[in-house]
Amino acid sequence: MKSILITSLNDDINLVRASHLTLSILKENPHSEISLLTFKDLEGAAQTIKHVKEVFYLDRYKIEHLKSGALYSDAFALNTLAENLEPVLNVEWDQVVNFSNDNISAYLAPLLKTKATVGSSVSLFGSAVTSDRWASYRNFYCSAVQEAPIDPVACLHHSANIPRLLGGQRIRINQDFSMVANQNFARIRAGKTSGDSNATIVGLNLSSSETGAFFSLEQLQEIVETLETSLEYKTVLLLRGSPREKELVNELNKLFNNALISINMDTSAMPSVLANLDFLVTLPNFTAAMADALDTNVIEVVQPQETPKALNEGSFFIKEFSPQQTPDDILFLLNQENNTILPVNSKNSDNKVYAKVKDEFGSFSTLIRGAIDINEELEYHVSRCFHYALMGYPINEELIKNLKSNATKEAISDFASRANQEMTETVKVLLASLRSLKNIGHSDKNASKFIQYLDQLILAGKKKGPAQAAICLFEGAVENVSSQNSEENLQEIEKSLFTLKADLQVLTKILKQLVSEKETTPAKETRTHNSPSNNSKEA
Amino acid sequence: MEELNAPIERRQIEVKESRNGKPIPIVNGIHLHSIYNPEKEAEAFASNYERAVKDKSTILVLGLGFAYHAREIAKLAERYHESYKILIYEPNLELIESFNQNIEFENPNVEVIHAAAPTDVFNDYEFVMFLTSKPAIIKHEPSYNLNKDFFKAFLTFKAPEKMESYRGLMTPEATRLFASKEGSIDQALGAVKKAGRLNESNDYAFFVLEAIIDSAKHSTKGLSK
Repeated sequence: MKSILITSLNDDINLVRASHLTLSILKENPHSEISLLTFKDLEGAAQTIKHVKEVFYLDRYKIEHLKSGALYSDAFALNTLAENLEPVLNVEWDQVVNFSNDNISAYLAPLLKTKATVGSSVSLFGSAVTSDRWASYRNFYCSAVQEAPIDPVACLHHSANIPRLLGGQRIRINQDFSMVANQNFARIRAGKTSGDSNATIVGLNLSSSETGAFFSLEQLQEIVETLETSLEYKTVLLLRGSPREKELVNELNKLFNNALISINMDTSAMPSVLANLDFLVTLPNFTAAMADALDTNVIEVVQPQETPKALNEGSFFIKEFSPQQTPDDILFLLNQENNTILPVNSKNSDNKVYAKVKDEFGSFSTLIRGAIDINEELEYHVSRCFHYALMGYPINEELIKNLKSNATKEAISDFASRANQEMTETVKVLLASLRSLKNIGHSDKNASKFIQYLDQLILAGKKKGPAQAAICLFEGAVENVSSQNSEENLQEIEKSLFTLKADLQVLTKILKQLVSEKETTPAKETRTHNSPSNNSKEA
Repeated sequence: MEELNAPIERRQIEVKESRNGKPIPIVNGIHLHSIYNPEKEAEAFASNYERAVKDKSTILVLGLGFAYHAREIAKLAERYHESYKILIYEPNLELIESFNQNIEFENPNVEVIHAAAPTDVFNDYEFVMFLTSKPAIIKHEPSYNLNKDFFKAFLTFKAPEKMESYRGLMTPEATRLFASKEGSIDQALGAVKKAGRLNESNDYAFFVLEAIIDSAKHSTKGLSK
């Protein structure tokens, strides 16, 4: 029996995403006992996660109120925290997983009795210690970029050495709610039939995105009008009770003679509703993450600065640059997925529509509608190929072949030369760091020079560029250096510098293959560090 | 009734009958209720606070007298809330005893608390939890004026920040988790940050606390909508 504690002390989106890991762990180790530590205010979301033996809560608002109020002794805040943590501190865990990569869990992990910590934690030196390269990628790279080619949930699965299970039940569905929802949805479906088949139900989620954006009334009106007049579709408006959502429902109902169906879902009823939908159209928020955990197909509309919350194959997201074209893009996707002919005004879109697909490495996004920015595409796919290679996977020859056949030689050459140029700057600093490291014993001046170069190198990891992920992994390795002996520490750093050098050579190799006239041949070599075992691929 | 400490000073208490036959206390010669009709006076008093009682289901009344005012406030609270809680803070222990002898007042939602020193109640967890509900505060003016310094000290209280000053209030679990530090928690955290390393594993707990507070301050409350 393996006792595992998953800590998710961030938000409800991250919390519901933990359900992907709990299911995968249970499938791999059926005798595991999984517990969850999260915030008291996320209790509703925590209760929906299946395969969890016990949930522990931290009452963050009570602790904050007691600590911040000038009237209250800090003793009461400390007492509350100690009382909340006591049951977690008393257990001897086999594994503690910092699922949401949050600060609280990182500081808490060293206080727990555990055989292993997965993810990041904080060392006595105050530095971020990571359990492996996947965790370094998650902590140092994913947090520095808007959307990493390898998603955080995939990283966590690799760090925990658990294959990611697709399909299966991750979310607990309340039986009473489920029975009522199933009956109601069967009625809705049957109420609108086309030939032999019942209607496809599209849930329109009116909740705001995590950055506070809402669908406009015009967008919703256009989608509802088209779907309601079609023979094949039926819309259901979904809300969680905020005033703006209620306003939208009222305004829409006014426009459609009060004929629209709306469902006000609280967190416990949400899974029963979402499980009955054929598609959920939503902004990136908790509902999107919950639908994804339920394997309901999700169409997310995201602003350029937002990231989609659905991870599964079969989901889509629309990066919105032109809001008036968004309804068209949604209808286009519904047509494509259901072989229908809903009227779509334009063949093209100024938005970018992506499909979530997967290959042997994992899931990724592919542009299916909208103008192609070849540089952006090359950057995304080459980065993804490089990042998996950094983790010990072979270079994705198939992808390089595809890129070569889909992009012009000129575009590829431009991209590769720019990438090489950017990388040259990094390599220069890297070599200077290595040189100054060798001379460090000779004078103090050399030592300060070395630190200067090291800082410069780590700073390069904060800038967007082809080598960014490799430098972030290097930063992770440096932060992990923990010996009390300075000579040993220097040896460790030297080793990490050579690893970075080798990592950058992999990128050079990928870029070379990309511009090479010759057909690429399957790679024979596989990188040695953290080589993926069979079970670290997605199941 | 909760007795937290010994009385601070003895005061001369006399009980008289009002014109309509109700007992009223006189402390050091000061009448705490109307000598004509204390109930009618209390009704008028409570009606001044109807809005506050409607808005809050927890109420802190400063001064007991013989609780005619508290009874009327409770009637209002009953009208507006399914459940409510009224605490009456009274510094004069003899007055409380006299009230118990002379008045029959049974209401499980009303509790009289007493402390010798005005700020002693802040060491009581139950009272602190009551305060976290941000209760409406209603002054019974005659009682308040009689104990002005006491109530002023109570209303302007600021909890001591140094850890050594509240060590006695910490539970054994908290004492185990949080090592004793010189100065306040914030000062202790500042010192660890300045030193660039944690001194002992117990230092982690202070950072956990800091990160939790940070998360509560920066999170939109509850679930995202």
